[in-house]
Amino acid sequence: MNKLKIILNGLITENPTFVLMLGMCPTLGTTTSAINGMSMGIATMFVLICSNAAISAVRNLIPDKVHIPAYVIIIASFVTVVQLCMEAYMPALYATLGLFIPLIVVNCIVLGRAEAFAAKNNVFDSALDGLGIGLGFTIALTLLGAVRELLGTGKIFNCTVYSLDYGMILFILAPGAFITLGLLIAIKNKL
Amino acid sequence: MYISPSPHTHAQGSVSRTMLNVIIALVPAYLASLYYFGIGALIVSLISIASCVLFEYLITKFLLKREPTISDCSAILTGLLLAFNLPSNLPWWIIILGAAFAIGIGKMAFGGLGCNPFNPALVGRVFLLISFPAEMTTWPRPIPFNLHYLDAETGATPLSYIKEIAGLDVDSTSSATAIKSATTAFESVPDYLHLLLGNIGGSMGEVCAIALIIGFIYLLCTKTITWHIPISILATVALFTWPLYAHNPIIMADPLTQIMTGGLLLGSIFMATDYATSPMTHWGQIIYGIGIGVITVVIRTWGNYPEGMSFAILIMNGITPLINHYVRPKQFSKL
Amino acid sequence: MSKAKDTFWPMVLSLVLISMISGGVLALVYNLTKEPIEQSKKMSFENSVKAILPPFTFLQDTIVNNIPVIIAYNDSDIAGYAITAEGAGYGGPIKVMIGYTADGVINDYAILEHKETPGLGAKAGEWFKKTIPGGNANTTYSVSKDGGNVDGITAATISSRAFLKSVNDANKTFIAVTDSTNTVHDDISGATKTEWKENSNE
Repeated sequence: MNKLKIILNGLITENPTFVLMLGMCPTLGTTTSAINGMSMGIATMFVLICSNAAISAVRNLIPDKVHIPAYVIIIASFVTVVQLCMEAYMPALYATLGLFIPLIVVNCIVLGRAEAFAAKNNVFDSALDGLGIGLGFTIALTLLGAVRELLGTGKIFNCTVYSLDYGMILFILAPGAFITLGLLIAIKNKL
Repeated sequence: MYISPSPHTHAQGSVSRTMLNVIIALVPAYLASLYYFGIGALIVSLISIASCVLFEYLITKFLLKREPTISDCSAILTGLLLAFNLPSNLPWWIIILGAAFAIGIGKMAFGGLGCNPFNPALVGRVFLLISFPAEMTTWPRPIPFNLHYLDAETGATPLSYIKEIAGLDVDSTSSATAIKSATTAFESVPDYLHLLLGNIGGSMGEVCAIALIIGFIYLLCTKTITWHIPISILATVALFTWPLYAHNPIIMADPLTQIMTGGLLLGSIFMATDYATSPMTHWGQIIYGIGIGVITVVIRTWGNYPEGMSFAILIMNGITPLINHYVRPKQFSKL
Repeated sequence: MSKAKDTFWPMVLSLVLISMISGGVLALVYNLTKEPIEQSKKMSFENSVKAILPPFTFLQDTIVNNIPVIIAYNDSDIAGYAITAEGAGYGGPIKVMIGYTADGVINDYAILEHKETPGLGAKAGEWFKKTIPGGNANTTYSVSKDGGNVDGITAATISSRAFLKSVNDANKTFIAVTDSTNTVHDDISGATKTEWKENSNE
């Protein structure tokens, strides 16, 4: 039961986007479509699970004074792995997400979870926490991307729902990201 | 002149009286737009006002669960100002989207009348301009008592002509056709008489300069607004465009044309002076007006859109709290 | 397990160890992905050229009038040309690549770079697909608003003009290229001739 609670915590209680409001840069920058949002979420989730597990494994070997640099090295390594793999095997996606992939290093969620959870818990729980938070992030980004894509271009996951002529371009531009995020948080708070 | 920091909440009577004064001041411009754009102007304004009032009612009643506030006329004014900022051949569903955005995001999301940091009608217009740029920049030609709505004959506005000339690469070798069209385009910038009377293309409420000036005089006489914001905007635009015009008269219109075209008069008299979104002291208002003027000319000259008035007002709306913070009303007694 | 102490050697050792492991992992992944990354980079350029040209077997770079031109060969015959050109758009330069067949018919085009307004000039990538492909390199294009032969993008005359200007420039380059290749066959004068690459699916 406890394990389920860890996952649900990241998914709902401490949802990184809608509750903690962390990692806003990729949230606003990459969610121009549902696919982009989901890919960014999955890439971040991968980094979260791996870095949480790795940091938890070495947490007792690292002296407190140098724990931040040590964590950053670990996180940056996993991000670089994701970046290289994406560039090699998913070049089209890499071209769209581009700069935001290396920026996962400075995503507050990753370092935040390392500090708040992985540094205090065992490897398996930390990986589960990474999974929960990562899933919460992925779902939030996919939802945001889907709403923006639907309102902006009339498509969802590239399937046309209504004609592009009726799409409100504002929603796939930067202001649309802020407005959609605000509306989604308002709906979430109401629920 | 109200001297209290925005957001303002006044007694209900005073608010609706103010709103009514502004609506009366808009009547001459409305009549002019009915004359030039005919049935289209009527349809656009009715849809806009009706949907603004409806959305205000629905949101206050069902989302905020408050007493509906439509009796203060502010939704009617927002609807009218939004319509004034739209071309009169705009399809009905775009107008409804704009009204929903203006009332929902521009006003109610911040808590309703007096709490909104940005002018709701302009929020609606800018949303539509960015979302439907093709529809929003295809203006009907002014034809007296026009009976066409969606199928009205279209043309460009003076500002978009000017922008087109500025966009041409005059130095390039292959611009024989371009130069030719540059001269024809420049000849299409109308003379002062047409600008004053409003016999030009544009959004439905912005074309007739003289009607807008009559409204301005009415607002000044009833002390609804003071001269500070409109005059500082107009003076800044004139002073800023004059050297640009002197430098290159081919790609810049002269200062007077700049003032009388686009949304400049409409915006500076009716939109920038909105109480909730403009500074409260006279000096603050002058700073605010200068800011709007400078940003407008910058966008008109170097920006991606032919008209920058609505963007300029929204940007300065955002800076208003800062102006209010630094330019405080005079203290008459030391505490 | 007790927590490592905040003294000099544990700090240095832990950081060195973590850096070394990270470095090792990254070196491994880098080596594994090196080949596929190069492959995909090549593919993406080739795909954009392939999309606008008739079928070809290999490409060759040359420079005519200081403009880089890609000539596509079908074994020994010329299959087509890809020429880039630029026009001054509304928000900045519009960079276009035009693909021609060997006899001067425009096969297709692609917008490589632009800063046009979304919903207006940014539509150029799709808008002219109906009119420009199938056109002739000898035609001079202009917007119907200027009395020309092509319908411009609604409410985006400047972008349309810029696009058509770049098409006209590319046409001029095309004529220059074919002239030089016709007179001096097989040895393009003044052109740097570099074997570009064999097509992967021969």
